[in-house]
Amino acid sequence: MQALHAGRIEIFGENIAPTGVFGLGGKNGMAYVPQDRHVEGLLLTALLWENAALGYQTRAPFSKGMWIDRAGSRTRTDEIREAFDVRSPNAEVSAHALSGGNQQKLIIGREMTSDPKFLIAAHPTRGIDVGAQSDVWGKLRDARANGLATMLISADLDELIGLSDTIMVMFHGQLVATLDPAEVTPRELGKYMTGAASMSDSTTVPTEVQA
Amino acid sequence: MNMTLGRRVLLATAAPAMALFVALLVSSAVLIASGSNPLEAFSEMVKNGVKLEVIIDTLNRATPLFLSGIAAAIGFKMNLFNIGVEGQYQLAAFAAAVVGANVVLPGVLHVGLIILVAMVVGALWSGLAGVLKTERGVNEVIGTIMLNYVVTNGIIAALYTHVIDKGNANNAGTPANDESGWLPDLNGVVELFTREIQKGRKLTGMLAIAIVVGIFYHLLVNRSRIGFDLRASGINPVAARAGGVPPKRMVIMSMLIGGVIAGLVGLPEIVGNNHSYDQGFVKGLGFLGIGVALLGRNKPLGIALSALLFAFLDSSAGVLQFSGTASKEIVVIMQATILFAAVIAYEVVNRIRLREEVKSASLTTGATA
Amino acid sequence: MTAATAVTVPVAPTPQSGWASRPEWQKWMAYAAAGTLVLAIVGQFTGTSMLTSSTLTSTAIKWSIPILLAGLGGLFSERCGVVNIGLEGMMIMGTWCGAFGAYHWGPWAGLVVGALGGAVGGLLHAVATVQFGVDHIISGVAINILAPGLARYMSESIFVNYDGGSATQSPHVDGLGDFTVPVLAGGKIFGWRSPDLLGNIEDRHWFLLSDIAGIVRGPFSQMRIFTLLALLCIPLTTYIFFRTRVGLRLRIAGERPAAGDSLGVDIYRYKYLGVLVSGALAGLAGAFIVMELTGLYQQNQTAARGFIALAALIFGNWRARGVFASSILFAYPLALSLQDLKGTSVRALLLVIAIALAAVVVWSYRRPNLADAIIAGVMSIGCVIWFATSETAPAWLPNTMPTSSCFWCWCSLPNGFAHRPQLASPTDEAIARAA
Repeated sequence: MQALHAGRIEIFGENIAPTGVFGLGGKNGMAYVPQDRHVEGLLLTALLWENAALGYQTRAPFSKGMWIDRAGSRTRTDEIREAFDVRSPNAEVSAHALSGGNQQKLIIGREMTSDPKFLIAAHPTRGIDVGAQSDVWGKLRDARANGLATMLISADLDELIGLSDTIMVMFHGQLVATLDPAEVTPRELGKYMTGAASMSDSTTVPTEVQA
Repeated sequence: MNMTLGRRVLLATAAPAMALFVALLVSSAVLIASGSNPLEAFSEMVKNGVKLEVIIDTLNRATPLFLSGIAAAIGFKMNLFNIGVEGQYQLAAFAAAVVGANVVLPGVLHVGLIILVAMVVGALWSGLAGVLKTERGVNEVIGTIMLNYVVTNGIIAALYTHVIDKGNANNAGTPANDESGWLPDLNGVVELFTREIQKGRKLTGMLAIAIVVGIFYHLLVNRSRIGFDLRASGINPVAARAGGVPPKRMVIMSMLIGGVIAGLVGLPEIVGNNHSYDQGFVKGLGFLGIGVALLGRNKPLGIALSALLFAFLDSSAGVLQFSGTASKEIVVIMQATILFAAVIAYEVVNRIRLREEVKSASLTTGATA
Repeated sequence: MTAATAVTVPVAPTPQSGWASRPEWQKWMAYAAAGTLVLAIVGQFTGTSMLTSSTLTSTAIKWSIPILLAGLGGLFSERCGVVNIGLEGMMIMGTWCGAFGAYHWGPWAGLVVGALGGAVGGLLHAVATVQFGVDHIISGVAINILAPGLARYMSESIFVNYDGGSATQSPHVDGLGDFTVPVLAGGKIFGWRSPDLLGNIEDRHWFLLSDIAGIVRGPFSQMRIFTLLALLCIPLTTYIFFRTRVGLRLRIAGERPAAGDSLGVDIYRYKYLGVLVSGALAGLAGAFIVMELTGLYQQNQTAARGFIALAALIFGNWRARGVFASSILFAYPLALSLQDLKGTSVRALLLVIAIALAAVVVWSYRRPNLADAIIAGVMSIGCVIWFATSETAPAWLPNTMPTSSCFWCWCSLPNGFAHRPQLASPTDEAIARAA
């Protein structure tokens, strides 16, 4: 995560720039699928239900008052496992034991089941197998169909073109293009991402907003 | 293809059993090498250990070890290596003894004040290490080691001459508390079920407080939202922060709670045995507590069992010496070997468990993996 | 504050333009000069010559050696990526084994057996951490619990049977002996007593000149052979790490294990080696205490020096010469209190601390870090007031005050106490060369 140099980040009228996406977990209807699930998304040695509660531990069904509701958490975890096809023997294994795709489906399930109003998904299919990838794409499409505002951040051009309503390309911290996925080709998109093909080394963060 | 319950229990008990076995093996070897009969020594220990007075003695020794273990375990749960229990309990006991000796209050209030002072002082000293970590990035291991050093060689040494009881030549310590500052012993409770306790043994009242602390620890760590946040922050501070858990606050909080409990460790002496802090005040409980917490895997019941085991070994040391079967120091070797074997065994078992979990999870996943 | 800062202005090595780019030996010389000047001024002001006397420097060096050796031990372990909090335990093994070896086969054997005893502790640590992946801190704590128990058991079964030994101590053992350098410090050449040049200057009590002579004479008079060996370990350690292939591989094992592994460096082997050497050095530290400081093994005689060594390692920024400097810093006040039983010279130390804190004030103010400047300023004034209102300093002061004030100073450094050293990782080419 980089520090903000200028400007505001506003979500539902509230400036979140001081804390960034961190510190907002589950609050204000915000949901966040981090780009590195092992670093930002999971408690690898903790159990599945504990991972499902992470970020939502302050509310039902994960807790009651100051206590963790273990039965409620397990039930909700089983629902997530069912709905998002997280393949695991039960909610009592540690997240470590799951394959990358199943870990990612658990995170997406966690972030989508608590009635979010706005979802940020950063590289949601990076490093997972093909079957899990299409599951994740399906879930993102469903969410959009149900009216969830989603910001998809990705470097996978087919993923961007296939899922987005609008594609916004950022280069060196500047918005350089707003494109329509129905018309743009991956080649064209790639040109904008690399700074009109002139500076090929730079790291780019293509952005897509789906309303 | 879930892991069966039996297999889980087996894995959970394998490590301590292995450690105990290795420790018995090693100490037998040491005993044989120094010309003692290990079987004779062990049977002597067990025979002695079931006597009522020795059980009381074991419980008395286990109480501070348990408290110390819990204090360390709260930090460990958050991946904080709080080596500072040693300094925290000494400072707390010292402050409690001084306050207790200089305050006149009726019964319950007096004891209550002593205990409160100990908890607050322990928490403040421990919290200082926490603040240094969050505000200055001082690694907690180094920070608490240094603070231990400051307590024993600095604060207590500096204040000691000002608070000792000058009228009492043979006890160069703080003046003894009035009887209102004593915690009643639990002999009456035990004697309801057994015969009368002899040899002047008294079961410390701190045992009751220790049990309360154990239950508190269990509820805090395993059932409460704070405990969830603590554990999450310990396992992965970045993910916990993304999940709305502020890491700095968690560090301070776990240090404070650990310090409160560390403050209780030295109290059996202050409110029970000596009623004062003197030159011979018991040292080393903090480090032993770390051992007890490690052996007990930071679980309340585990800590209780390992505290009892360590205490049993301690209280059987005397009989070995007395009966001439072996040197009493063999129990220290046993404690240390158990500990060392246990930490290695836990690591090995942990790897086996993880491998089995991965296997069982991938079997569920079937062909897609 | 004004009084203290006024004294500081000429002596504090304040960072100027170009200071940072100076070669390191020049900086060290500047620090040493500043320190000597402060001690000379304070000595003059309080009327004591003890602060810079040769007996004091000699004692301070002697007492710094256990911390130095154990700190170098910590260095070997941390450079290869294993935190060694078990130094204290390994040192205890060293004391017992050192006494055992020296009693039976003479002082040189004591040195070797002590190192071996420490190395056994290192081996345990290596097996637990490198082989089984046990957490470094946990294993270290376990060793710290194991070692004193083992030493006590062995004393009770072995030393008890010796004449003059008991369950808590061994019979007397001899050290390696000492020598005094001729001409400079008045040592003998074939029975002829040579002049004592530095001693003569020291006795004149000239301001600064006698102080320098005293400090320089310290290491040359009654230098223990063991001390000399330990001091030789400082350049040797630096040489090993930065000039030899083994040292490079040790650093690779600590800093770039994955890169080293892919190029065929046996990481496990070098981690084992580093931790073993670490234990051996801690064992040597223990043997030094037995043979040179006390002359016998006693229970609890390491007195938490293993932990202090860890602190010295960090204060010394994970470098051999830094470890030496900070071990002197820890040993100096202790040596002073050993020499000065009345506590009058120790009291002068308060002024030295006040000046050091005032330097921190200036330094923090420039960074700028006002909060630190205020904290250090208050502490500095406190020391001055304490100095002004007391006749002698209490006995606990030399034990704690320098340690804790160093600690607070270092706390104010940005990232000053990070767990891992800020080390320059070996480059890819270096790794390729080592492999």
